[in-house]
Amino acid sequence: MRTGLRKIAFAAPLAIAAGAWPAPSQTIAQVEFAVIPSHSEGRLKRIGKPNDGTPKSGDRLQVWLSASAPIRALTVAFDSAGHVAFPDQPLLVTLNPGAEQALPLADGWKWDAQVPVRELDVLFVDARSPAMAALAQLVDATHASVPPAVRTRQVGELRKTIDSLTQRDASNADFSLKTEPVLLAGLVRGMRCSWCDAAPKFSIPAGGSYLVRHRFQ
Amino acid sequence: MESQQGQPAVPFWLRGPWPFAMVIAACAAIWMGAAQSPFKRFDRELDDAILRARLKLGMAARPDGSIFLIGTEKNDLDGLSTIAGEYRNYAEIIDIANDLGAAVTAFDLILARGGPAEAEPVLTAARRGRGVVFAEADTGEKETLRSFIFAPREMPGGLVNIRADSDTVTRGYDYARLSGGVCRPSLALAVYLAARGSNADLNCAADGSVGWADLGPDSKSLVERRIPRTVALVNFRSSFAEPWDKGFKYLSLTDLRRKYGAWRVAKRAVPLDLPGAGSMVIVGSVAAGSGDSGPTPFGVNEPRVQVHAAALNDLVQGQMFRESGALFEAIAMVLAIALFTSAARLAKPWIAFGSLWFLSVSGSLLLGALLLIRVNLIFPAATLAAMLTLCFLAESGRRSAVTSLEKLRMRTTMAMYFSPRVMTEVLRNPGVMQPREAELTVLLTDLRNFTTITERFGTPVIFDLMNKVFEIETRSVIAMEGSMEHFLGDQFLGYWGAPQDQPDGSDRAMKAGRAIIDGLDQLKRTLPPDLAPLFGFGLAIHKGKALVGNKGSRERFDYGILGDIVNTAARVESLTKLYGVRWLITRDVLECQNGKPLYRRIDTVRVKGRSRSVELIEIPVEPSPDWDTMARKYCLALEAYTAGRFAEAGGQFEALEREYGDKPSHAMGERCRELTSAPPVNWDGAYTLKEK
Repeated sequence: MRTGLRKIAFAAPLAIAAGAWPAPSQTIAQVEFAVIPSHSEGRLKRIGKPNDGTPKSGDRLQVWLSASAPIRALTVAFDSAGHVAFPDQPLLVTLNPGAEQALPLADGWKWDAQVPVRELDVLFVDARSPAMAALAQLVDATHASVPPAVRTRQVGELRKTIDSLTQRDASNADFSLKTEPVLLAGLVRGMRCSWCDAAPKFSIPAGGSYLVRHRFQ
Repeated sequence: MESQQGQPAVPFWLRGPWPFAMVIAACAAIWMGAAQSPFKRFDRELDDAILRARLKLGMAARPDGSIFLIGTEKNDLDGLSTIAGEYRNYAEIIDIANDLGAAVTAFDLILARGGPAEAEPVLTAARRGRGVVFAEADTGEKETLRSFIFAPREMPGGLVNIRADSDTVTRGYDYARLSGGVCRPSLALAVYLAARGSNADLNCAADGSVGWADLGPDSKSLVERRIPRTVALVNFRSSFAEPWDKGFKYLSLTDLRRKYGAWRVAKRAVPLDLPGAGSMVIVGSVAAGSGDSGPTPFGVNEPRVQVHAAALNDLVQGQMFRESGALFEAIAMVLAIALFTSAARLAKPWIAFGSLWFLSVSGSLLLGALLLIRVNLIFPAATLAAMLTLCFLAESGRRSAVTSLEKLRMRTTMAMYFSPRVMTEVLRNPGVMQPREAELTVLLTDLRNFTTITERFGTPVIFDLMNKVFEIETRSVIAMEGSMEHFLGDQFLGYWGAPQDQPDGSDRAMKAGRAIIDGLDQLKRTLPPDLAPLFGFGLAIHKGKALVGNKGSRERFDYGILGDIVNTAARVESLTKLYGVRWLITRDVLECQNGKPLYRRIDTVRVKGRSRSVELIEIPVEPSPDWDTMARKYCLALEAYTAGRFAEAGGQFEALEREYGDKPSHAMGERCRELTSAPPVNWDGAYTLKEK
């Protein structure tokens, strides 16, 4: 898979330069969730069905994203009170072909049993999407220092935006990534995901979006 | 009201359409500005019809796809014997909606029955859910009637109070109510706010609006959004029964379970027939007989949840109807009435005026529809149409009244001059009144000694006498279907041949003349002895062409004769005094008689001011037994006179005067003496009179 992505990454600039290669009608993206248990000693636990692999207090959440073409990806988790679960979220990153993006960028998103994460959304958005500019502005604004009343409405607007993008392309929505309940263990080597080539693939239409939503009980 | 001539005049307030229009405009302005229009119900029903037509024509925008209705139907309730079972259903709905990604699940049901144990599944599911709104009801007290009143308020609540119009149809919606000093949102507003994460800080302002803080365009600040607390008409898109391509998405609980189960097995994206991401689910009872239904613009038994959904849709799509405002409506009404009235002045024919009304009313209704559909403005188009119809009726009435008054005025005027039959014909065909040249026979009478009687007996006596004389003359002329000119002094003029053609006018004039003479002779016999000797008259009948028609000014007009015929008739009548006879006619009159009366040719003269000669014929009023013999002799004398043998003729006339006491012979004898002493040059038999 990674070889394939690299080929695409290599060939695409040449094709664009030649002016003969049509713009891709869709982008292939992959996402993988895992938790790093508090006493893992470098082992990861892949999240499968919603009831499997629910993190425990002190566990950390790790996400890997990749795409076959440049694309934006929004990652945000909501707790049971409807708030954004981690302070560095929402995260809007650009995925480059052939480059795996590991999130979070720092120490991982640590689980809090008092206010458990209820939902984790990964929204892939084609950069040509008409909603992209508003989404980017909203994400930027959520990282600014604002009063709680504004923050509440920012989160509400964020959920509404995610919902609306999902609704618009409802056939692309997938609310539960239900792979086989396999408990994997692997070494963390520079936060590289050694098994991510086998992660499920999603097609993001040109100018469209795709939501991967994982719910935790 | 009558004019100076005793004719009914058109009062000033009937002379144009503006007085009525101003009254109607004032009423409209007051109704719109200060009071309620009496046609408000029609406005509402018109709005209903417009909304229904919009749907039928396919012009209604689809409701927002994120609004999803879940209904408990009769089969959903079958087998439910406990409150716990019913509440488990609601908990299941919350869980399903949550699993599908719905943003809010709201209940158009007040879950006030049962205790904590029965409520627990619902509350637990609600705590798990992303957003749940429970129904409340404003009771006018400080506390609302709410779901799970035994438990602390955890979830936002929305008022489900729905207010119907006076015709029991629910059209409007209260988005918020100020109850017990607290600004409480309706179910629709609570759902809308819950879906946007801003469910607090509602404020109900004194101007009748409700506001809340929304995220600003920069996503970092707050901006206030205000809407009317109450709207008169919700932007209903369809009836509850319409399919999803026109109405709200709807599933019964049974169908929701089935489709949800299928989706769980398929492991695919949420299909469009389930409440997917961001959906706002409203749960209500649609079971027949549940009592939670009533009339809306789209049906008589619409589930109430439809009203909340339509109000929510207005918030989501920003398509709330707003009222146009009293001032705007008042100004619009006055301008429309002014425009209609101005146009009405130009639309004189009834067909044009009727078309103007039709176009105005149609235009009003179309304007109302366009404003409602295109601009979301509720405009009282039915009231405007009613006002224009009032203007139309008022103007129609005014025109009819004016026409009737004109006819009455004309009838009153004509009654003075025409016989009833002629008048009926004239009214049937007013065109005959237009000025034209006509062949007329005129009858003219004049009293003798008018000045003497006036001086000797005074005004009351002469007026009484004149009225009796005119009465006889009028009756006689009308009996012969003649017409009359106005009375001028002691002179009376009747005529035949206008306004209608009367080929037998000369016969009629002669008969009328005879009746007048008989009548006046009879009158003379009734007069006092000192007055009777002074009473006398002359009567002349002449025939010729004249102009007839309406003449005069707008304020007063007369139908009458213009032309030389009247002057000639007057001259002929005055000659009765010269010849000492009572009745003279001219040759043309005699020639037109069907049966020749007893007559004799008296003279041929040129009256003063005329070059053409007139042959004078005497009609004997009371011929003596030897009148024929005398007339033959007179004829011989007149032949000699006509031939210019004045001396011979003079002798014959003098003999006639001596033998019969014939007054015309006396006059002619004097004439012959005059002409013998000064014979005329180019004598043609016609004597030129030097005096009138």
